[in-house]
Amino acid sequence: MGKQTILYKNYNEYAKIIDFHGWDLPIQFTSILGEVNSVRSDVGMFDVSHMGRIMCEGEAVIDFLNYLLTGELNKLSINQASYMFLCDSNSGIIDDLVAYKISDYKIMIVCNAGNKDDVVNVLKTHRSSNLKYGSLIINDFTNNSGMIAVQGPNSPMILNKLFESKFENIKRFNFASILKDNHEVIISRTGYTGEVGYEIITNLELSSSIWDKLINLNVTPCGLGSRDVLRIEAGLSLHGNEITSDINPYEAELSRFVNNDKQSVYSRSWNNIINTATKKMLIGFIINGRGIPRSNNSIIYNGESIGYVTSGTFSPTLGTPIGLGFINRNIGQGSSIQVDIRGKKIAAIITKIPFLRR
Amino acid sequence: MVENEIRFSKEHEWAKLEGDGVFIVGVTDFAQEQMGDVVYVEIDDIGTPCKQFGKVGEIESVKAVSDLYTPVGGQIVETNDELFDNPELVNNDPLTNGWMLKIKVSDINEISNLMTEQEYKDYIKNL
Repeated sequence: MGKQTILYKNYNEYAKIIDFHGWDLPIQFTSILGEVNSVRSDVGMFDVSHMGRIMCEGEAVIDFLNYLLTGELNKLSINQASYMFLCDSNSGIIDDLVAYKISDYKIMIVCNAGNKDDVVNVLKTHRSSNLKYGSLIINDFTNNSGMIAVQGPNSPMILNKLFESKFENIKRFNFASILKDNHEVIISRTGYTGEVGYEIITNLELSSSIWDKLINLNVTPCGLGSRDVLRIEAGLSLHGNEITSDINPYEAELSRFVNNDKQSVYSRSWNNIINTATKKMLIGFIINGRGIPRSNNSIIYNGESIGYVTSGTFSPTLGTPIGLGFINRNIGQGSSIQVDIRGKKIAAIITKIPFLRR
Repeated sequence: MVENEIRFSKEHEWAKLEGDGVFIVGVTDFAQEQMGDVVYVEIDDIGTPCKQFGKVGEIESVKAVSDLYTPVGGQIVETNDELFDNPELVNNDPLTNGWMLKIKVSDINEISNLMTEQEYKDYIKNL
């Protein structure tokens, strides 16, 4: 048995539990495709309490994180969040994360469950590398809090019912810190589905009661299976698939999240990367046939293997299988390729990412 | 064995005697539950000979691909083409409309290698 989030006891009897980076989490509550449809057409919710939550606090916190993270934290307003990477000195992606500017002295990081220990280690190592960072507080509060993602076109209405105030006005990647029943709650307009949505971070007890209230508001509980389909449809990278410590943001077509106008751990390698021809590039493709592309399937162009699939699924929204993968040359959108799915070469077309735009 | 009698395999397929040595074959409710949303069903062509417990197709769900094995050996005499456009029948109706194929058995004695309904119920209880 793995670790369980505070919401484990709130799952219904139909939840199918799998191991996810040491956590017992639901892959589905009813059906993956049904849950995808709920999020695309109505509203669904995910227990994302397993994700790493780290509070970094202290006078030099902006300088401290700016050296490690690819975003520019000085440019963020208070109550603004931003997607960025923690890169190593080769610009390899240790993790992708969201940094929340709570104040000029307080930044919250939300990172992947499977990389949280690495992220915390890098932060702590950097803290001990320089005396001026010695007094910074790095608090991993993952196990003392819960996190619920409410996603879908009806999520603003649900948030208003839940907190009895207008939250649809929060802009994308902004957040509000409020008090509910004397507990601090962070509500951010963020998510991993490509839909309008919110993520709610608060203490254990309140997280549990919020989940139950959302159930009473008929929000569909959704598992990791639908979360993966939704993020692939939205063209969002997953660490371990599209991005790893062997892939840099340039190769993953994510350079826009890298700021290079500052001194950082990755600047030297990053300058080399953007000035040399890339060896691989991320593409999206739509399968023109039957068969779901799976990780590591070969991508073929003119009879030659030119890359591999990193993620694939059946997209219920498009009614066809789709995938993401790396290829070793620049062939444009609309090009015909094939994907080797268990020995069968299935036709596919290179397509723009995201597969659907909301 | 009489018409409409049903037997089960350890691989979670069922075979029901339709008559004249022909068995209807499909997957069990337990199997569809494990696979989750089925999106493609590929079955070997009519006329293909098959051995008991041999592979006769593939069932692809959002999560993964599973091989389809036949609980009886013989020859494929019919396939459920409805599944081509409506694979969700496997999830919604695995024991009736979600049937996969029909097989004319070559050796009826092979049926003794299968489980009765009660035996299968006990079998999945211990999984």
